[in-house]
Amino acid sequence: MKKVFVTIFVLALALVGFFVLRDQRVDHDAGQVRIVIHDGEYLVGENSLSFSEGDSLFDILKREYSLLCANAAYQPTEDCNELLFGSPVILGIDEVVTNWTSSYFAIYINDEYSTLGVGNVYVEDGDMVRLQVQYLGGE
Amino acid sequence: METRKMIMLAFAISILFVQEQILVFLPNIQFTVVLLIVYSSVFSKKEMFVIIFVYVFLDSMYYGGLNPFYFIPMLLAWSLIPIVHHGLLKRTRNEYVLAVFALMFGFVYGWMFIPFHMIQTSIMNPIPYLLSDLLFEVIMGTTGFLTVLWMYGPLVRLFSLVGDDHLYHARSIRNSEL
Repeated sequence: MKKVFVTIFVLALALVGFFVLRDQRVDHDAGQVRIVIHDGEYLVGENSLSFSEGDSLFDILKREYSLLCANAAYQPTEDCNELLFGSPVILGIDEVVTNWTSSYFAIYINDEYSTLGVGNVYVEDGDMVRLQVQYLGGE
Repeated sequence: METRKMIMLAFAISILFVQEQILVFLPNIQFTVVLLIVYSSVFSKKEMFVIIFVYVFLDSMYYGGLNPFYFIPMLLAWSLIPIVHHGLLKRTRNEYVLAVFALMFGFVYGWMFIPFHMIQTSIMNPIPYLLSDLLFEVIMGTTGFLTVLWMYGPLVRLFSLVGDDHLYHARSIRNSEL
């Protein structure tokens, strides 16, 4: 019986923590956003896209570009659905492809490195988003 | 090392690796923590390091071609289980103590990656990484706590049924109640 009570208590505490933390990871707003794609060496594309209230950066990109996402095992897949928890991971945008192990897409919002994933970034009107391939070295 | 013991270690590693792959679609929900704590109760510290090294090696090969930024922190983090269990916790078999240890381990495991992630990304501020990982640490800690609380006892008793007196504590487990 003691175990059941402890389990219920810890589960309740974890659920509260989970929802509070999940809520804090989301950053809200809405208009026109400039998307810049950079392959690490050259600028390969620039686009001005409109978005609606509640659109995440991922929603905006999904509408405009052909995306390659990571599945739960971080393998590339064209099935870019939302993950169970957290943000989807983009491995490729049109022709620019990363492999997650030695390269990834860094997100810069108005030249500031974003610590939130594409699914959790909510841009504001006039923002400039740069998706730049970042090389980490190694294979 | 005896053949029988080597086979047992191989089985232990296989179970560890396969369960992780089966549960890969659920982020940070796995039985790795409870299994390693159970193994730590029945195998010696040296055998535990063999299990952990092979498991981390396989895992890193499978996911990222032995990327040192994952391989090293994983190796360090998982090694904490036998180190703390055999050291600070004096090989306790108290399910509540071990469950609290598993809960804290969920957080420590995530923190272990921070310095490596800082080197990898050249972003020297640990706070963003700490905050973004907190959600997954809560999931891992809670899973560790609940799985140890409910599964540690039955699994350790199951090991004692193997009847191998060469196992680190199998004999003492058979002779005592959890």
